[in-house]
Amino acid sequence: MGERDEDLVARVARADHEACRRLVERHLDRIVAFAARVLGDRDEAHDVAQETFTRLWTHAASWRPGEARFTTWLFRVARNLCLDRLARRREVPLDAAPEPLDPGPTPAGRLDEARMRRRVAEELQALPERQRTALALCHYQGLAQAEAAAVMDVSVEALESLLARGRRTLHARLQTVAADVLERAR
Amino acid sequence: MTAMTLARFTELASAYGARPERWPEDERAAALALLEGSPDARARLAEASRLDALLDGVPAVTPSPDLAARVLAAAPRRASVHRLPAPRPAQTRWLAPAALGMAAAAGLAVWLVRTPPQPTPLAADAVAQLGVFDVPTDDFLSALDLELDDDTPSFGCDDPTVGCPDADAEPARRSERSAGRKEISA
Repeated sequence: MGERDEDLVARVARADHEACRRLVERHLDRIVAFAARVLGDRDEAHDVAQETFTRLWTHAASWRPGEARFTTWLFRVARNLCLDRLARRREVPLDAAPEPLDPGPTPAGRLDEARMRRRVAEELQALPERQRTALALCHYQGLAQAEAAAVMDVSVEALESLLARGRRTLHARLQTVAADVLERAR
Repeated sequence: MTAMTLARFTELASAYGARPERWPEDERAAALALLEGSPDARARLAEASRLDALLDGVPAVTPSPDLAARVLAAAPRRASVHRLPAPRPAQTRWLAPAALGMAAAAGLAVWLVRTPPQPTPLAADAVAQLGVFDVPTDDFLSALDLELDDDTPSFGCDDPTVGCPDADAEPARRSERSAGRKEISA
């Protein structure tokens, strides 16, 4: 176990470049992956990650260790930057929309693996932002419930609800794909 | 450990998927215990596992090779704080002594303007020329035909009914002191 993130941030505040490098090594991949899941765009995810770390360099001196975990703060900054970009896209908020109806089996038949992945990615992007973000934090980044809830500024119960709704929607929309996965697994 | 119901187990699998490490820590042991003896719980788990497989099939975006370098280029670097200043360009080197001279001249001007002039001490003969003014009002009053010893000064008073002397009458007397003073000053 190396030096704690919070200690590295204190070193960043003293312009310790080695501490900056270690934080980038630890977290850059995760922030890029998270932003890409939320935004569905690789280039924008890179921009968000770069801006997130720029905020870290700027705000390291005012970091208060007891207030939040460093990763919570980092993901929260990244998420806010993602929201800014989504707002600029004039995305219509979908969180208040009713649960989507089961579209039923699609006639497309079997999908090859690449197409199947693309289809799942598209369905992920079609989820409301909060459900997508909850899945990105918990399923893909493996954050504990309390931390993911803190990143999103919701209760743990609300987080669980977002996750369940998101997964139910995906399950309904991907039934054909799921059948295909099962078929291949046999 | 609180016993877990199938309903709660279904909620956990629906929200967090099939991997126990993603379940809430305080419910994990009870959920695993239920799973041991409940075929229904295992069926819920298998369903959640299929969706997990679909989600896991969407690869994470990885950072481009130069992103870390770009992020670190904006990071603070202690060495830059202590770096020696770069030499000034040759064409501006003459400005330093010129600015020093101008600053000195400005300082001198301010000192001259703000320092109050010192009084010049009087020479001894100048003091003697002033004479001795031990009773300086005598001559002034005599020039106005006033007597220092009069009870009511006639200056500005011409009403005999209130005790003013007749301003047109010849002075009744002159004080010997006044007469003597005139002789001295002459």
